[in-house]
Amino acid sequence: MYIAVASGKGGTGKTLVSTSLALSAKEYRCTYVDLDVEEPNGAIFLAPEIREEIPFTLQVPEIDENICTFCETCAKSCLFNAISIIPPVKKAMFFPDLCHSCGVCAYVCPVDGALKEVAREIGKIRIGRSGNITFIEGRLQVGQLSGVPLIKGIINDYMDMESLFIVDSSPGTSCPVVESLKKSDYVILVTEPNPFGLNDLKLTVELVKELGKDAGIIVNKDDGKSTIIDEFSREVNIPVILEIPYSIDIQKAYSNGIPLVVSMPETAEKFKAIIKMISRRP
Amino acid sequence: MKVLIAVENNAGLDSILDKRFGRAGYFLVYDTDENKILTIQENQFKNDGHGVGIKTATFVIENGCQAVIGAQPGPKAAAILVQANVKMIVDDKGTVKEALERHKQELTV
Repeated sequence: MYIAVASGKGGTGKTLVSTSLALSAKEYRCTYVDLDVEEPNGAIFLAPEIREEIPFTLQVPEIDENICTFCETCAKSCLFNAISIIPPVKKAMFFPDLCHSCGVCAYVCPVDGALKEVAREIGKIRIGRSGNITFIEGRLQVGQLSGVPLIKGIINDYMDMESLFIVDSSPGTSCPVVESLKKSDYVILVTEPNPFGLNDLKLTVELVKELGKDAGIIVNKDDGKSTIIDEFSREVNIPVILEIPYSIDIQKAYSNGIPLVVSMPETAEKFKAIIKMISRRP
Repeated sequence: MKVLIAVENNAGLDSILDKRFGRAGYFLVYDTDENKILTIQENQFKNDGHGVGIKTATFVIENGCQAVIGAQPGPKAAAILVQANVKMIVDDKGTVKEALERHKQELTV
């Protein structure tokens, strides 16, 4: 089972929720997957022992200007304009930022040995254990423009086994989030009861509906007064499955790297109940 | 020399210089030896998602231009123009006529 934790707004509590879910899943074979590859921070709370660090690479072209005839076939075939050939000065330029690693340049190149594909590292996959939780994290290199290939790589290569996957995704509703939710069985939408939280929750709900996913809302930093999330929840028919109170004690513990279920053990039952509820859905 | 000028509209020498290079409205090619406009055509890449600067820089080279007058090109387009020894004159103010006058010195080699 694959549970994705998402939120439109950043800083609402995705990691707070996903680490607590993983720590409450003792009865399951559980894998916590940090797919917030631009800023993975689940490790701060789960403190895993990292056993493997695997470089994640993409295939990109490398052009040998001594062999290249500067015919421009590769540049003209590239849908993303990642290659520029300058025949008058016999130069071939490659722009890795624009490359989607589709391989069409290598396929169309008519000159033997002029263009070969080489591996280019864009990030790392770290694997370890935290108690009985398997820990997987994607970490994109600073300066890389897109984490999508890394997210895809982790889902395809490391999430094909039988396990309860708790996936901590990036904030927002853009490509990395879409990729993290695509294969999920259930999406937990974390929000906070203020206009910013509501606005971004609306965007995420649109995404979840578009993807046809079953979802539930967790309201974090709940002051017990505002009802805007409850009203929206009824309107879109997505239930509020948990409310986490606005509390200085939770914040203090959390800023010291202590997960919610550790600082407030009474919450563990609630997270357990959520996992049970999700796994028993028809 | 042939110079490519990135402009907003198609109004000959009165065309206004565009505030953007790769996504300019039109590209005007001017010959400074014969003092005349060779071509003026709509920018085909204007609305592309990515790599517009690269296409524009390639267009400059394909048209045999040795200089460019336009808004500051992005880093990728600039890298290509440097490699191709194309002189970059960054200017996005006034009309083509005014710009040619302003950069007369730089355009005579």
